[in-house]
Amino acid sequence: MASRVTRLLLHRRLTTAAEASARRAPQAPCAGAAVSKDVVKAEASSLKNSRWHITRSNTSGPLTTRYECRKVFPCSVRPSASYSTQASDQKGKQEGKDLSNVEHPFDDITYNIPEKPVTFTEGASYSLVILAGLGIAGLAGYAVFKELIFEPKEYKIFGKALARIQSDSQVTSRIGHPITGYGQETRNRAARQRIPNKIWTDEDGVEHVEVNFLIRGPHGAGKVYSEMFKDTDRTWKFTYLVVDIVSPPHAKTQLMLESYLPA
Amino acid sequence: MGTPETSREPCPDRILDDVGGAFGMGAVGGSAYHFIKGIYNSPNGMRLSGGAQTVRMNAPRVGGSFAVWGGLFSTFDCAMVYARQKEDPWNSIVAGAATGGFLSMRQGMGAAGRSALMGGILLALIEGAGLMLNRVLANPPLPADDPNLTAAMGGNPFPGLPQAPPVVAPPEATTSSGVGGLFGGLFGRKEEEKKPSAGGGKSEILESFDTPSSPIPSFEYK
Repeated sequence: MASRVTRLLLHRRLTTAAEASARRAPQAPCAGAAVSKDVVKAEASSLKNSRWHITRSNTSGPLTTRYECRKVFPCSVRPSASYSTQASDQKGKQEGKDLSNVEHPFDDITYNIPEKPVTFTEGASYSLVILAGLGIAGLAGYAVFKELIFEPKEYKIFGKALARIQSDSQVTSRIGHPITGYGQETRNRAARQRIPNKIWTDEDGVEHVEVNFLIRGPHGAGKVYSEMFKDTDRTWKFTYLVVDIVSPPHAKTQLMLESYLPA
Repeated sequence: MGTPETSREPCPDRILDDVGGAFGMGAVGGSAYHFIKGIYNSPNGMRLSGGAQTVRMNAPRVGGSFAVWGGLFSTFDCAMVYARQKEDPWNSIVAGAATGGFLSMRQGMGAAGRSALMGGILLALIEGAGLMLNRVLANPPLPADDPNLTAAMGGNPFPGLPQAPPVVAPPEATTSSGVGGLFGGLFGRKEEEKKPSAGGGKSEILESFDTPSSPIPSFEYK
């Protein structure tokens, strides 16, 4: 409180000194002008320094700044009336200092914004959500590709066996030429498309696939038992391919189209 | 061993069956959906009458849409079976894509292409899910069927041909699996009557034991 009171008193003394110098100026033109210039500069610098002190230390900064502005205006007006060029120079200096004063508070506000912790936390949570979504999409894609795009083994063996049967004259001469293959004797689409199969690996590590399916031609029908194994050169080979023709009755027989005899 | 002569080729007649089945599915499902919707959108005191009115207005339309879709799908599926002479999941996928594209052709080729792609993807997912379920359901019951097979073997002993049996199948298994084949045939007949997917699974599991019952005959006509 005491420091504030003393500062206010100093401001009042400075303003009174400025008024005195303004009054002296018109009396002595040459020597008085030089003296008034020096006094005005010193007063201006002291006033601005005092302003800075007040704004930093006291919460009543704006009030004191307004009071000072009102007092400073008559000082600046009187020199401008007597000497226009000097007054314009002084005004430019004051404006530059004012701009520098105005910019500083914004910098203070900008320094206080906390960014890093919030951004990191939100980013981490969003990353987890994104990873979960990508995981689910990956699982779905894997299921589709594994089961459909890369053909399952039983359907591969089924295709090979059916092609072999369709190109065999013993079967076509008995049940007719366009031979259709399907899984089960029923009208259910899913059951007809599902081929009974058994996949196992023997003692030597060779993979075996057994399939059973039905074939039908214009003149008859039959049952097919087939097994294939994956050879050392990564190709599928028949272990056996047996066709059991059950219709028509006069052609009822069993044919062995493929049989593997190891050398 | 159901007699194949009694069961006809399913494809031309299956189209009519699928049209009826799809209409039933759409009518029943559409009735349930629109009944709830009508109840929700009606004021108090008139909810039941509002629901009934909404069902009467919309259920036949939904049933008709499903019938059109099912009929087209079945037609394309039969065309694929005839062209490929083979029945596997690819037939359904191509039929789904063709149905989607055909129904959207009036809106332009771009829209038709997009609908065909969506239909194909949808049926690929359905077929993939079906195959995955089949794979999961088929594995566990294998050891549980052994006591049934042993009991059947005790009941009806069949002499199997011991010539060059498969690695996994001993002679006892061949005879018992023969009996399993008979049961598979019976289950197949029941499945034809009921057409449930569970029946298909059961007969499929039993018929998988038909594989060791393939006796290699001594006579050859080559």
